[in-house]
Amino acid sequence: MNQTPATTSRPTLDRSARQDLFRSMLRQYGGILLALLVLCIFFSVANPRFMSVANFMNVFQQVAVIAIAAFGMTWVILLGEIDLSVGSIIAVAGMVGAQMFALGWGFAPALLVTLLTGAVMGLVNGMLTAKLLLPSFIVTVATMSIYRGMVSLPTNGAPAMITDPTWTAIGANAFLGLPIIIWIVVALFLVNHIALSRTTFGRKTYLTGGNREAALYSGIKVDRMKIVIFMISGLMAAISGILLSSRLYSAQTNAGMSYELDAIAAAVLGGTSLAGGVGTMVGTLIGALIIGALNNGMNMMSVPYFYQLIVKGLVIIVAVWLDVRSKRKNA
Amino acid sequence: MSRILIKSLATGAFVLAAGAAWADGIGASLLTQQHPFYIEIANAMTAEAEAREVDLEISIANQDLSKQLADVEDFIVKGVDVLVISPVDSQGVLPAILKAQQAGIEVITVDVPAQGVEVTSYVGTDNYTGGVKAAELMGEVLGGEGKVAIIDYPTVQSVVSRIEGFKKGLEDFPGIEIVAQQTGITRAEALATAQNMLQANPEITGIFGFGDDAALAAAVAVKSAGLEEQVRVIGFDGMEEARNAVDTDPVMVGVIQQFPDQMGKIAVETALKVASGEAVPAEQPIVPGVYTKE
Repeated sequence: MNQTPATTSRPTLDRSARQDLFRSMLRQYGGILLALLVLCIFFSVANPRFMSVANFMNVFQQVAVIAIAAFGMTWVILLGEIDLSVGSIIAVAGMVGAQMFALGWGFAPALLVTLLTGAVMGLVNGMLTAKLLLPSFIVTVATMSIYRGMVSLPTNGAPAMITDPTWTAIGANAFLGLPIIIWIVVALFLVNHIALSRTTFGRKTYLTGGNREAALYSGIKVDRMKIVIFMISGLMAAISGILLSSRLYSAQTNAGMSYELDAIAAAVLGGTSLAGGVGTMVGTLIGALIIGALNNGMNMMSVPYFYQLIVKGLVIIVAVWLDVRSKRKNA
Repeated sequence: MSRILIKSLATGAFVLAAGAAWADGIGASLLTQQHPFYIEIANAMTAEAEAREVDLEISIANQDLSKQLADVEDFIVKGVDVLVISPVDSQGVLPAILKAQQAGIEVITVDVPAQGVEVTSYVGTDNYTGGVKAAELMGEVLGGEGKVAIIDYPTVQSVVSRIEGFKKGLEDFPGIEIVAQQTGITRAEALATAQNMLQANPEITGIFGFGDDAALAAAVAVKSAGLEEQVRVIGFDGMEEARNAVDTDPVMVGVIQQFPDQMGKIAVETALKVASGEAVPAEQPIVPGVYTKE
């Protein structure tokens, strides 16, 4: 049914247990790690600057927005649902922040309202899906359009500048030598990873996504679970939106356009099954890094833009195939 | 599997150690490649770079500011000498330009100026003068009398300047009155806008479209309203499709013609001057021409 992550049972790690852990890690992520590695080597040969610390940080920052949205998306997909509205929520979050500052609010309240907005937008997705029993695909296609329309209301389509020094510092500054954005991605990765692999809520998510009937019979409140998980997705998207607008010093009405597809691609590259019940945050993070490395690496190689689109699609297919193949072989 | 991993890691380390010769040259970040205007700019830049035997790399931001920032960051890592950029958004481009300048890269803006930051040089159409020229043509065509409508795009500074110039130019024709000014960004939107304006003001005799798309859409609207005898349309940009329309379509009386080929050529020339330490003017306006029926 579902595959429990390797880390759930770990008393003390003696040598053989550690070997087991390594093996199961390799089994789970070997294919996708290999894909990432092959890409990195290929790009390094093409342009030696690809493999530099500066460029690694570069890729990590560029992929942060996708990665965080993909963490939220992983929860949703694990449940067997989909959230296509995250790109629009990303844009809304930036615009809400910008408008709060325009009204003269400070950083902390603006941040709070922005996060709340994301959670509420997720709540709407979840309620429509769980209570009205509409397919999440249709619900979020609709809210994608609704939220995208709402972005343009305050400025009539124009971008809004953000001058709050704390907000823009998130995207521009570093802490202990690492860009703040990277710290945030790492922190959110840990929070999501632990919540998914070490808590009852995480286990219930796997169970519900893997077998909804069984989950219902074992007393899991599937409706409430759906709503909470769509709220997590909305919240993650809002954080992505904050990072994006802080990187750009502005809220753009077309920000985050089609990022939901990149987030889905990252999750699926990382081994998340669209049927639900299978997937991990580690996988999703690797998946996001592959997308980031691809975009950056092809830029470094000066591949013309339209070819980049084609190559990106092909690489996603090959990477998923590698992953599926290696899992089948090791199973 | 693990053997493959180790082997590939070793290769990676070798590559890391071997890396030396970094790319120099010009990096160009253009806002789109889906508009003939930008395709001409890109082609002119490539041609000039080839003629001068200098490395030029072009990234396409695809109207996405976030992608433009990532493209510029990648140019910084690659180590270009000069960045030529046509901003996706005049204000939002600020962090990208600041990052490049902090990395010691000189920045030249093309077509769209940047706001809130000083760049080494700006190469672009003198949109205001173009607007004035459009008004002069409109006044001439209408014989100094009539009611005029404007299709605009209020969030783009270059278009705002065109409209300002157009209005300023019309002040010389007191017999001409502006009866409508509405937004129509894409060709489809502009078509609906033009139809609505003609519906609301059937006495309109002239339409000024902020760009080729707006003007071509307006010409279609005029025909579908059966007002070919009454209404004259003037556009701005002057790409091939619009010039052909001026040649063949009695409704399209003229188009203000920008020169993207000059823009691209001058951008590369300027980048080379900057790279060799020569002084360049902070602004290099290119005065547009007027394309009419012969």
